[in-house]
Amino acid sequence: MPHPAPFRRPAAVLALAAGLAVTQVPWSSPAAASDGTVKSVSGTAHILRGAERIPAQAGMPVQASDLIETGADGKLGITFKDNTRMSFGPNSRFALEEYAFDPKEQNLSLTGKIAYGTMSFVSGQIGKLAPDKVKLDTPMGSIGLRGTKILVKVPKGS
Amino acid sequence: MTAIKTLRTLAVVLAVATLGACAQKGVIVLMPDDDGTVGRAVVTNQGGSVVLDQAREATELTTASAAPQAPKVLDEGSVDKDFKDALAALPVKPYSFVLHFKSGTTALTDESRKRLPEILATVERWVLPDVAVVGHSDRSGSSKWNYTLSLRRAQRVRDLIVEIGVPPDFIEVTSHGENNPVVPTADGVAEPRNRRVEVTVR
Repeated sequence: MPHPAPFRRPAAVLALAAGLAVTQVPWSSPAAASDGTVKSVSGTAHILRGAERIPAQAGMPVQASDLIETGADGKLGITFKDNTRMSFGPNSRFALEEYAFDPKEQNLSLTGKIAYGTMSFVSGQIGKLAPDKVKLDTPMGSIGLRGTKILVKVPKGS
Repeated sequence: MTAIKTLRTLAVVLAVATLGACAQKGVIVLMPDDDGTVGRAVVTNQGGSVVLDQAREATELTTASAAPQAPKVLDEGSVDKDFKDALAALPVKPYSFVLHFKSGTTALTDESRKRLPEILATVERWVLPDVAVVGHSDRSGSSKWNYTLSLRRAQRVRDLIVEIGVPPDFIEVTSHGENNPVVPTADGVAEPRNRRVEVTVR
């Protein structure tokens, strides 16, 4: 049965258009299995994973240890599987240090550090179930959160 | 000579630019949640700590050793100036459906069954949908049994929404057992509101 247009995953469509086998695309596995998914992106933005520097695209998975980087015209938004949402304005760099959402095993944590740039953060179920396990760091201080929405700006070079 | 002068000028310009960058401050702003409630944030560094607990209350940071500045409430315009782009990129808030079952079974109540088409409609209009189907139980009975029953219920819901047209690739089925209640209770307490499957489109 054909599905309406919004069902299509751009990653797979783009991969096919580029003549790549879908299995070669690093995010071809269902995004549902990853920690988070890039939901919005515009301008220049990259995910740095190990030695790889992957141009960010909507639908890409995001996982613990990833670095997120936006260029002068870049913006990017991520929704995590516990419903935490975060987004970045231009010229930003953020390290997702830890992410765990496994309530059954009571294994919950979300920590990250913004090196520079601007971000917005809306806490999700990890923030509800284990607020002490949610921490955002900046070079000038850290932020502890109680289930909330927060904006952070860090100047470059601080 | 000219080259040296140019280099000197460049050095001065760079020094000024660097000073300018150092003088810039970090800003942390607490925003009201989508439902209007205001949470709480604590900003801490080597110099001390401040609490933010009002809408658009903000603190500025200069270095890791200088205490965060006394909080003040910002107007919407100044929040927008710094954060317009970041806020524009924030993904849509995930949408959840809470489904209930006939006691001790994997059969949905009639009321919950009627909501399944709404789930499909939401997935259809969502850009890049991920669908989480998560089983939850209360704390009466053993935690192992509660985990198993709530997982079976979640699998049943998955099958039902796939039947009406939700693409299976988008769906992740899990169970949180007793550990993610709507209403926290002591162990052994029966609480029908906690026995549920939540379908979240995000």
